[in-house]
Amino acid sequence: MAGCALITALTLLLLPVFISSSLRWPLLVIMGTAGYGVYTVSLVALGSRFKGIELINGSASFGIIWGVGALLGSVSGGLSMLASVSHGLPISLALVYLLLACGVTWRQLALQKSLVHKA
Amino acid sequence: MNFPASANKRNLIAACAAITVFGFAFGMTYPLLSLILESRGVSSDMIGINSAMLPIGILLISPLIPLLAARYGARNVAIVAALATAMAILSYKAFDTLSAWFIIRLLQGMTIATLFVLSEAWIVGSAGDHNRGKIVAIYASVLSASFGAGPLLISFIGIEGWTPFLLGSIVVALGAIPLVFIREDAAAEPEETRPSGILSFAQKAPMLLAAVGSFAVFDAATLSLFPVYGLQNGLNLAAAANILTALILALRRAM
Repeated sequence: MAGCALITALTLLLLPVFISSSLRWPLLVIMGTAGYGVYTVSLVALGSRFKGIELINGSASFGIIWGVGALLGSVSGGLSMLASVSHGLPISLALVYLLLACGVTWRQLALQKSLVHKA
Repeated sequence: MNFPASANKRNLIAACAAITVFGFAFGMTYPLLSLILESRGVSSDMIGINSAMLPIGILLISPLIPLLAARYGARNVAIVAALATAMAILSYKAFDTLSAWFIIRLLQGMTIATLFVLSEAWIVGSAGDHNRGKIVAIYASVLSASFGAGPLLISFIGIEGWTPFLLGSIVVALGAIPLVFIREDAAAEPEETRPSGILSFAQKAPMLLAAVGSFAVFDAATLSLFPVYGLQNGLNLAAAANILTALILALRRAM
């Protein structure tokens, strides 16, 4: 998950460099694979970690969070393009995914630490 | 939730049909409407705010979907939602003003969210532990193919006149047909359970929700603004629409 987020952030940062060359196509394919991979991994994790009521609760929560995120994405994306036509959108999206990568890594380290303590 | 294998398969196919409708309508209307607004000289922040009506609709309807499904049956609700999505796509052209589009996008967000939540419930209900990865991968591929087909269609037929709206509406209406074959008793029925709410889930899996939220920001911003970003950075209309196709047709697979 952290890997997916990191790769997406890197390809986003490279986008302004390659937007006017044909290298933009492979870049976009990598960006799409990693960017959407975050959601695919989340769905598999939801299905394997939760059952019954909690699974449906999680699915509904996914829907609500998705709505909030999409709302923020539409508005902040438009504003970021006002700030800078060529760099605003890719940089602001890269920041979101970098934050996610940090959060996921931090959480995994914290979980590992607590497991070590228990052992 | 153990269902007979045949009912599982049937519901999985039907759910994929619903997801196809959802993905296509979503993948098509985002760049279509954004590019039309851009061609009329509407500013990129206004285009973003207009796009935001869709997720607002999703937020408004989400808590009600389990209630609607319990009352009228999940299958019936999904069929109505698919037909309403087809109507919404036509009504963009019938009521062709920016202010009307705010309302229509809100309504389309509601109908698409209904399709999305019900399909995901069916898919999750039919997936066993041993093949969940495979089923989620199929689900993701179908979603990504239909998402990608939307902008691809725009790059072929352009944004002028009734054609994109008519074609989009017809495809969505056709996608509703498989929903008729859903076995209601085998579908995951939301009224059987009392979900404990998003706050209790957030305590158990905060990073899972953070991941979905980040993905949604990325998804909405790229869908609504990448074509505009391409245009403003010197690409022509077809190349700008194909930016989304390249992004979306990327293999969406679990690692």
